Amino acid sequence: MWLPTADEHGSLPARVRVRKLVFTVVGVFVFAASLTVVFESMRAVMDVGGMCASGGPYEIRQECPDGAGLIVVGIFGGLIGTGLVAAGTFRGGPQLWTLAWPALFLALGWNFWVYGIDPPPPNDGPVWGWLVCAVLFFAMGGIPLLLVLRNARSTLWGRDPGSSSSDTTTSSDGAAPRRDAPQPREPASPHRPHPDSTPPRRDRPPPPEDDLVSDLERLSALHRDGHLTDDEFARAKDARLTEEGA
Amino acid sequence: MSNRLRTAVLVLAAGATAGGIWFGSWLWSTAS
Repeated sequence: MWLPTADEHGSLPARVRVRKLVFTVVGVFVFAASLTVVFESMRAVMDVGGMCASGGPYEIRQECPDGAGLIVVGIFGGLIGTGLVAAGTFRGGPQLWTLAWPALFLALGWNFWVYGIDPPPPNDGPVWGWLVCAVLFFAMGGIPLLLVLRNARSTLWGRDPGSSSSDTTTSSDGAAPRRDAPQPREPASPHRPHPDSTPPRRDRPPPPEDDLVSDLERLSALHRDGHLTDDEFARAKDARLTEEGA
Repeated sequence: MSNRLRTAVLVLAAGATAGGIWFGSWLWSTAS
């Protein structure tokens, strides 16, 4: 069996790739088997009118068909399978778990549609309750499927994290990208503003009053620190005020 | 992730889907 080598995929160890492939295969297998069981169980229940019961102290009007209890196993199996597929998702690879929800609702919606159009005896004619369920299930499965197919290039094929999704980071074990992961930050530099800070104003001089005030404050500081005599300070201040008045 | 690995994932997933449907049908026919 061909397996990618470590050199082809950087830091992702071969055992991690094998583990993810196994998770994917087993997860898809379990999900498909579980959905098939749920699909068949639902049809068996609908064959006897859509409602049934078994066990308990009460008088039962309609016993459940053999194997109908497997629907519970199928539901939990589907959840487990979806979890395995999600755990086996490669970084930047196909996001197969996105198909689980549409597959479930479209498959069961199909059952509602078929049995709603042509119900088993004693029903005669369309069963509108099942047809309403069919439309609802088609919408619940079809709309997410359209969203998945709309972004099929990234959801079903995958996208390298560095190509166009610069806002995502990945873990070292090749897990799916996480958008909430902290971004690495460069050390702060006095000459370069922080990326998160407000961008500096460009090509726009400060207002004249701000410039005047800052100059006077600077002169006052020089005078206070003894770098300017009283006379020098007075002349510099007058010159600055005169310049501002001109 | 390389295209070869993506292809391997999709091919294996397709095979697992077919196998799962077959197994589910067999399980249902056995239980019912």
